[in-house]
Amino acid sequence: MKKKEKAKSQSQLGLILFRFKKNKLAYISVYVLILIALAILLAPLYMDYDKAIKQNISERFISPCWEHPFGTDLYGRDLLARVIYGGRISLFAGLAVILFSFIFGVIIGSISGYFGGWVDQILMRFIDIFMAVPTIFLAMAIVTALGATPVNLVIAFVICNIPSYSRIVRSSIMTLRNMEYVEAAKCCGTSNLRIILKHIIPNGIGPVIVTATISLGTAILSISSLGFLGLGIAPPTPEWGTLLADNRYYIRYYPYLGILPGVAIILTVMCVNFIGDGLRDALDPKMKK
Amino acid sequence: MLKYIAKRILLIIPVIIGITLFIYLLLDFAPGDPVALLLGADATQEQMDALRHELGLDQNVFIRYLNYMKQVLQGDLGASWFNSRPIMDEFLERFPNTLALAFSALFITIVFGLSFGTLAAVNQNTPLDGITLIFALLFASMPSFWFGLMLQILFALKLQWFPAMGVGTIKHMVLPAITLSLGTIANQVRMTRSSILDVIDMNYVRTARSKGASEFHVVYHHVIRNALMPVVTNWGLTFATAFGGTIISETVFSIPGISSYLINAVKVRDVPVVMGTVIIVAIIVALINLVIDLIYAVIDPRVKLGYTS
Repeated sequence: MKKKEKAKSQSQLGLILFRFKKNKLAYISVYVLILIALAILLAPLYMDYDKAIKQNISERFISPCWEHPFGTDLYGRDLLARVIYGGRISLFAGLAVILFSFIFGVIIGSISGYFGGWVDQILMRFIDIFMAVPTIFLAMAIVTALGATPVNLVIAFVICNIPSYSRIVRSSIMTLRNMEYVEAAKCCGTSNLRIILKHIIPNGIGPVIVTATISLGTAILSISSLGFLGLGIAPPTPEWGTLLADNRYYIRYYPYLGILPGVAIILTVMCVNFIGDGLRDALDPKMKK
Repeated sequence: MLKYIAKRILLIIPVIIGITLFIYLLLDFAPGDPVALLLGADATQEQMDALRHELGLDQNVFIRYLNYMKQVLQGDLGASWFNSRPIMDEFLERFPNTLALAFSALFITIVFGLSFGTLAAVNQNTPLDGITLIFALLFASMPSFWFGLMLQILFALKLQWFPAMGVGTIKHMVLPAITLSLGTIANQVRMTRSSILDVIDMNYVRTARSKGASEFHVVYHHVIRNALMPVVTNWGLTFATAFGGTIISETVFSIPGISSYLINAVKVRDVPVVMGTVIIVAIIVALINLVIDLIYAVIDPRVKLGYTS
């Protein structure tokens, strides 16, 4: 009973935080993810970039030890350094993808959902076009055309992600559009832009945030998949997908080459997914039964 | 019903035109001269001009697109720039492999997704439910290329239970299909679970229980049947996702399918092949969605009404 009273006295945001904290896995994941992000972000402070790219054939295939906690790869490069520096591209490209898809998705989705009619028809037909082909096919075509650089990779995946974001924003706005408080704002002569920014977006943003969090995991996996296929970042720049592809034929003899980078990727993506899950339950308590 | 089908089919046409035009323009703006690439460094200007004319590259891009689409409508996807093999021939040879792979993955996803999703929902909030959900999330967090590599090393190279690569027998399909289903199974489990939870508290379920029906009867006849609607519609999307995922499976297990065809073409910038594959995939995905929508309309009369009225 006491807990309930405490929750009641809190703001909307406080309530969401309160519910989020109750989900232990999600809560721990936040800290683990922050640790991973810090390790990746601050890498230049404690680890030489040279270690990740400089080849040293005399030191190839050293099993994990004190000096090389993840061992070394087929060119004698430190695998831990490669995983950490590789994370910079995977994690930050993933974040950039989500950020820009989110921005464009919210813009297109709100215009489409709020105005409806022919504006909606035209925008949604465009969205249909981009949804016609599986993401990775579309991303591959775009990367072929633009060239494989981190920026182009982000552009490719943003284009692939905009449709789903726009659809989610659109559907959540279509339900909000006819709410009484929106009608009230309209009666007061509030401008369309102000209604969208002040009334519709704050109320409809929940599901979009959840989608964004969950699709961060997907984005990280997709980016490394392209890397694995040899269509992502050009070597010798370390990237999670390319570094697994590099060592691919040696994993059967030196299992650590596959297991350790794999665990690093899974841990990161799993934290993201747990957080997304926790956020969904926290933002929409009805969903959790 | 006929009107609905016709309307639904007509809606596919602008989508196909849009996506092909987008890909065509995109590949056209790509840097690098394909003619120079094809002839090598020591080609003369005349040779290059001749080949450019032969490939039709000296025309306006929109005219080229129209000509290309005219060709496609006649069932001719052109030929590869590199080995001059007709794309349709290559495609027909490779397509069965990709289709078999995608369908096996869909099958695995449905079987495991439905059973574990139901199991989790029926045992809601028990440790079994929690473990199922955590495993679903764990699988969703794995890169499928990594999972495929691990399966290949463990079950093909070390234990030698399955062949490591290629096609031929059902055994060849097992590991690639499991790899492929990794990306879709988690979603299927969660979706099944939540749609079952939506109906499990319904009055008709309570009625069935109070009549003294066995738990199996209640779950199988009353809960699952009613909960299946959103799950079935999701199969279209699952299939499309699986189709996209064949790229990874085909690469890891060296399967000669259309995805590996596309990858090789992308690497050497073989534009007609990239175009051809993307068009075919777009058409297949559109058809699958059409079929799912039609099935949905048959199951749920409300959908049909929404269109005809």
